[in-house]
Amino acid sequence: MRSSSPQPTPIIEGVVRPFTGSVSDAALVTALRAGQREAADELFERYGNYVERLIVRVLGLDAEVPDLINEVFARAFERVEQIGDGAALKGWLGSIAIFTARTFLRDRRSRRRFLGFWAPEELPEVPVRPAPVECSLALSRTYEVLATLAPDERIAFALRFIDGMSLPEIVEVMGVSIGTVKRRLTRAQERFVRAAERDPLLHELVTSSERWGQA
Amino acid sequence: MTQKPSFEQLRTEQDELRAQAGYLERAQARRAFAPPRARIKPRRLARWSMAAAVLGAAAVLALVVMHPWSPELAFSFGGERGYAGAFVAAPAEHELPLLFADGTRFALGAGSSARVVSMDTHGAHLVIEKGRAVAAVVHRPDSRWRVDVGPFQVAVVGTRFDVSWDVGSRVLELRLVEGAVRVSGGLLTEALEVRAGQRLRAFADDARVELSGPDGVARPEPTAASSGRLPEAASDATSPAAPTLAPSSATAAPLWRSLAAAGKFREALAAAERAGFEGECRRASGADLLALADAARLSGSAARAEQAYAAARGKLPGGGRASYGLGLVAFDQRGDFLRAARYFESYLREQPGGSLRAEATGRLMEAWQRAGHVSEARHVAEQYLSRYPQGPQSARAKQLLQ
Repeated sequence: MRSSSPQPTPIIEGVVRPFTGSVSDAALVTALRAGQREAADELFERYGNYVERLIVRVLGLDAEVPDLINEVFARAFERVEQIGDGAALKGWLGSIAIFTARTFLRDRRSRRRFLGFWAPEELPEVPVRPAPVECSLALSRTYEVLATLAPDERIAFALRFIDGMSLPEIVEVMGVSIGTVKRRLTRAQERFVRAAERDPLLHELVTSSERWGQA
Repeated sequence: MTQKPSFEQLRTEQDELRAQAGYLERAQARRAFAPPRARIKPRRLARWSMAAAVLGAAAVLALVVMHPWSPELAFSFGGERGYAGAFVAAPAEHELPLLFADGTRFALGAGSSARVVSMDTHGAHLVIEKGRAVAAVVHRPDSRWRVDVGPFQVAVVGTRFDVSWDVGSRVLELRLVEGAVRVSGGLLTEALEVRAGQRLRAFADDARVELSGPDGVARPEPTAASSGRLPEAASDATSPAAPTLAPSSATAAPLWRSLAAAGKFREALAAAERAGFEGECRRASGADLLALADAARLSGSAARAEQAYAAARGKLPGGGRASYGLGLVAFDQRGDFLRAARYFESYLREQPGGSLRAEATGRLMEAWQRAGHVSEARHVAEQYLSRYPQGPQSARAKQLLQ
C-alpha cells in the first residue's frame, strides 16, 4: 500500500492534473471525480484491504466477499460527488462497506426465510493451513451464532469484538448514534451469552474478553 | 495442548485466513468498475440489459420448446434456478415443487427439505433430508435417478411415487403409484424391488421392513440387523474410527456410552443431552468422548460431534484421532472440503504413528480434489501411492496423476 505524500499535487480549480498516484486523499477524490482510471486503481490499492477487512469481519469467510468488495467500490464511484471532504475518504468508504454488507445480509436472511434456501457458495469457506483446531472451531462457532442475530446487531458485535474497533469508529462506519450502537451491542451480547451457555468454546471467548463488560 | 481462544486470537486467525483466501486478488480479477465518466450511463445500461434479458428469455424459451431435454437437466423451484449442491427447504405452510427440465417433478411436502446432490444428462441424485416428497419421474430409456432417504437408496427409472422420511422415528415410507423402483442400503442385504401399488415401510432403528402388496399381504424382507445395528454402524465398526467401548475408570458408566457401543447413536446422543452434554464433555475420558463424538456424527449432529471431538482432543495425547473425526464432519456433513483438508492435515501432523494415516491421507487427497485444488491433490496422490500402493484410494490417486 502506498503512503500519502506529505506534499500533495496541487489541484487548481477547474483543472485536473495528470494523476500520479502519490497524492493525498483529497487529490485522489478530485481525480476520481474527473473520471481518471488511474485514480480508481489507486483507490482500490489504497483501501481495498480495509474494505475487505470490514466485509470479512461482518460476514466471516464467505465466497461472496470478492463480489462485495467490487460492489463497494462501484457504489463509491457512483457517489463520489457526495464526498464533502476528501480527508474523510476512508471513513466514507467504510460506511459504504458496512452498508453493502448489511444489505447483503438482509437479502440473504429474507431469501432464507422465504425458501429456506442455502446455496453452496454461501457456506463458509476456509483456506487450509496448520492452526490450533480450537481457534478455528471458535471462529466458525462465533459466526454460526452471528448468523442468528439481526444484521445491525451482528455488525456492531463483529466490529466491536472481532475487529476491536472503538465505539467512535463504529459510530462512523455504521452512521448511527453512539446510543444506538450501545443498544445494538447490548442485545447482541445478550444473545451471544445465551449461545455461549451451551458451548464451552464460546464461553471461554466471553470470559477471556477484556472488552465484554465495557461495551 | 488445548489453547483457549480469545477474540484477539480469532481476529489474528481470521486475518491470516483472509490473506490466504485471496479475496482481494479475486476481486481485482473480476473488477468491472471504473470512475463515473468511463462507465455507460446507468439508464442506458438498464435499457440494454432489459433488451438483452428479453432476447435471452426468448432464446431460452425457444430452446426449451425445441429441445425439451436439456443436456444440463436444470431445475427450478419457487421461481429460483437450482443447481447441483443446492439445499432446498419447503415453507412450513405449503409444498415446494422442484421442476426439472425433462418434466420430472419432485414436490417437497410442507416443512420438508432436500438436497440436489448432482445432476447429469440422465437424471439427478437427490437426498430427502426430512419430510416427504411426491415424485413423478419421466420415463426415458437411459434415465437414472437416485433418491437417498436416510440410510436407504431408491433407484428410479421412470415412475410416480410418494416417499417420506421421518427423522425422529427413522422410518422410510414409500408408496408406488406407477412403475417400479429398487430400494437398497440401510438394513437391506439386497436390493428390494417395489412395484406399482405396493407400499414399503422400513424401520431403520428396529431393523425391520414391511412390504405391503396390492393384495394386502405383508412380506417381511431379509435384513442384516440381527444385532440391531445399522449398516453405517456396522461398516464403521470395521474402520478404526468406529465408536468403541473404551475402558473407563468410572464406576457408574454413562448410559450414552453403552448405547453408543451398541450402535444406537441417536439414543446415545439423546442420553448425553439428558445428562447435560457440556458436563459430559468435561467429565468423560478422551476415549469416551471419541465414542460420543462418533455417535453424534453418525446420527447427523455435526455441531455436537465437533464439540465432543474438540473436547476429546484436549484430553488425548496428541489429540488422538479427534482431528480425523473433525475432518469427517467437515467433509461428509458440512461439505466444507477445505476445512476437512485442514483437519486431515492436522491429524497426520499430530499422529505420526496413527492407525488412521492411510484413511486420512486418502481423505486429504479427495478433500483437495473436491475443493478444486488439483495440484495439492496430486501431491498427496503421489504420497498415497508410494505408501499405500494397494490402498482403497489408489485408483483415485492414479486417476489424479494421469
